[in-house]
Formats: sequence, C-alpha cells, structure tokens
Amino acid sequence: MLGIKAIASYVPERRERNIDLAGRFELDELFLRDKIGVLERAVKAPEQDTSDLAYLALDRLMTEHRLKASAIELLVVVTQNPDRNIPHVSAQVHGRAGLSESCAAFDISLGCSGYVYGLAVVKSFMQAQGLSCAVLITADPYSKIIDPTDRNTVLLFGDAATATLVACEPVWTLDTFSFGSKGKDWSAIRTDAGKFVMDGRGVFNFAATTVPNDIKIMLGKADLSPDQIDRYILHQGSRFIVQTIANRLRQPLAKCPTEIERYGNTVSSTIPLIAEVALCDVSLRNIVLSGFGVGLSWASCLCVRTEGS
Amino acid sequence: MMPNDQRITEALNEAGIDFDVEGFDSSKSFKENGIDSLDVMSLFLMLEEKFKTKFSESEASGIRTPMDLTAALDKKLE
Repeated sequence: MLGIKAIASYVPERRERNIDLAGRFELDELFLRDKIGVLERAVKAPEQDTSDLAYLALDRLMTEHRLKASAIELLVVVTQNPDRNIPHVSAQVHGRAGLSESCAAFDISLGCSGYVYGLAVVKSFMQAQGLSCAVLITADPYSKIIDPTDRNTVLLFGDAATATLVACEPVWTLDTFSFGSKGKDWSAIRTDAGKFVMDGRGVFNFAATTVPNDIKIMLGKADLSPDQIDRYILHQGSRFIVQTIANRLRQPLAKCPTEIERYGNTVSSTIPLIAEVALCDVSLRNIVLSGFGVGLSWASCLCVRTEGS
Repeated sequence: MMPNDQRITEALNEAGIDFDVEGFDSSKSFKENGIDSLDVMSLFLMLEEKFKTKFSESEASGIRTPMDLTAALDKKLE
C-alpha cells in the first residue's frame, strides 16, 4: 500500500511584514489578520533560487527520516517558477542530492492544485512501474514574479518548499481523488511580461463555488459525508477563502485550519506545510486535501490514517 | 430604513457579513458602512447565486455603494 509516510519543509528565515505596507494600501491590521490572514511573508534570500529551496526541503526529509539517496526511485518537483526554462528543477535537485541514475526525475507545471495532482501522479507512476519509494517536492517562490505595487497579490504570497515521502507502509493512504479544470478562465491567474496578475474576484468566485462542490463529489465517491472528515487541509489562498469554503461545507473552522499568518500563501506548499504537522496527530483519521488555483484547476484527495501509524 | 436598504441589509445578513446596522446608509460607500472589499465580493456572489445573474468586472467596478448595487440588480432583473 502506497501513501504519505513523511513530510519535511524549508521556509526561508527572512520575513517581510504586511503591516509595513498597510499605509500604502489603506489597510488595517484587523483586515490583514482576519481577512487576508497574512501578517508576515517568508521571502527567499536574493541569491537563492527555486532549486535551492527544493533541495533544502529534500535534504531535511532525508536527514530527519534517515532516507538514503540510493533509496529514492522517483523525484517529482511541482513548480511554475523554475531556475531556468531548461533544465527541469528536479534534474538540478537530483544531481545536487546525489540520487541514483536509476531514479526517474521530472517536473509538474501546476500552481496551487499541484500538490494534490502531484500525489496522484506519483502514486500512479509508482504503481505502474512497481516502485516503492518516491519524493514529491513543491517549490514555487512567487517573490520572483510578484509586482510590489499590486495590492491584490503583494500581501498574500510567501516562499517555501516541502518534500513528501510517498512509500509503502504509509501514515496516510491516498484513497480517493477528484480533479477538474476550467481552462476557459485561465486568464484569472497568469503572468504578464513576467509579472504575476490575479483577478481576485474571479478567483474568489471560483474557489467558493467549485471547491466545496468538488470535495462533496469526492467524498460521495468514498461514501463519506463532510461531517465524517476530521480535518480539511485546504489550499491557503487567503484566510477569507478558507473560511468561505468551510462555511459552504457547513464545517467548523476548527476543522479547516489556516496557517499562513507567519509565512503567507506559499502556492503548492500550503497543503503539505499543514499536513506536515497533522501527520503527527493520531486523533485525525479521515483527512481531506484540496488544492485549487492556476488553470483554473483543482484537485481533492481523501487520506486515511493507517492502523498503528 | 428605506425598502432598498432593507433588501441589502437582508442580503448582508444572508451572506453572514458583519456591518454597522445602526448607522447603515445605502448612499455611503461600502467601506463607510464597515463592509470591506472581501465582504463585497462575498455579497456579489451571494446575489449572483440567489438571482441567477452575473455582474461583469466592469459592472462590479462601478458599484461603490449599496444603493448602486440595488440599482444594478434591479436593472438586471427587469
């Protein structure tokens, strides 16, 4: 049985405070805390690039879980902000970490839905190829593309990377998935001339209407009701979006944590950053992961804690 | 409170939005009524779903007060 066995993360130490920008954008701390949900954003050092963040997350995973480089059979990196167009970031990380030449390595180009898509791709690839040990990395530092004058985005995004060990004898199984795309609305989240642009209202409407529905459909496939889920780990678009989805699922906020106050929306890393902590909480049996964003695309997954883990 | 005001305050309550009930004035901006930009998005969505209509981006950007909103909604529902 394949599933999530461990997660490690790397969050840059440097922080930028949103309160320092509040005057410029005519915002107050209450709005930043209660609505946007971000007080500080983690920002990578100028000399760091995407592959550095990705490698540091992988290095932590290997150190904390005594994972040998030779054991990794598949390395996948989710990013849309690679160091350069060619090569793929996973190749750079593969080389720096000294992984085996028999280890497959490729990138997946997705944003905030990328972690859940990545889990599905990794699990399927492993099953098809008879593999037993893979690492899924998320690393998408938006500080590379954010326009510092754009109040719609500059207060939201932070930099981080995570590394997830997908292997046999997991803590969480990866049971049921659902996916979707609204390519007709791709322009709601995009880059123009290298700078990030987001239609806040369009993305809010998409998240508020599509995501709760998708989660309910996915739970229906698993023959579960929303009340039977112990924890919803939702992409942290903003505190307001998480609250809106929780309300529409008719679930208490305590079951839908927001964890972006000290580092911001870290794109495909928001879900694994929360999952890293939740993985250790043995009281959580049924967990839903749901990512949504660039594309527009979305994916949800049911994880179930294995007996004795 | 005028009937139009009542319609908007009902919609605000339905959308679960906190606002200054006593001082509510539909001719003042949403912000002056204690309704922030994210609550406005939530209000728009609730009305779009309830009345099965859509406010385009250009329509939405021209709506600055609750009174503007009721007028725009009435026009759509004519």
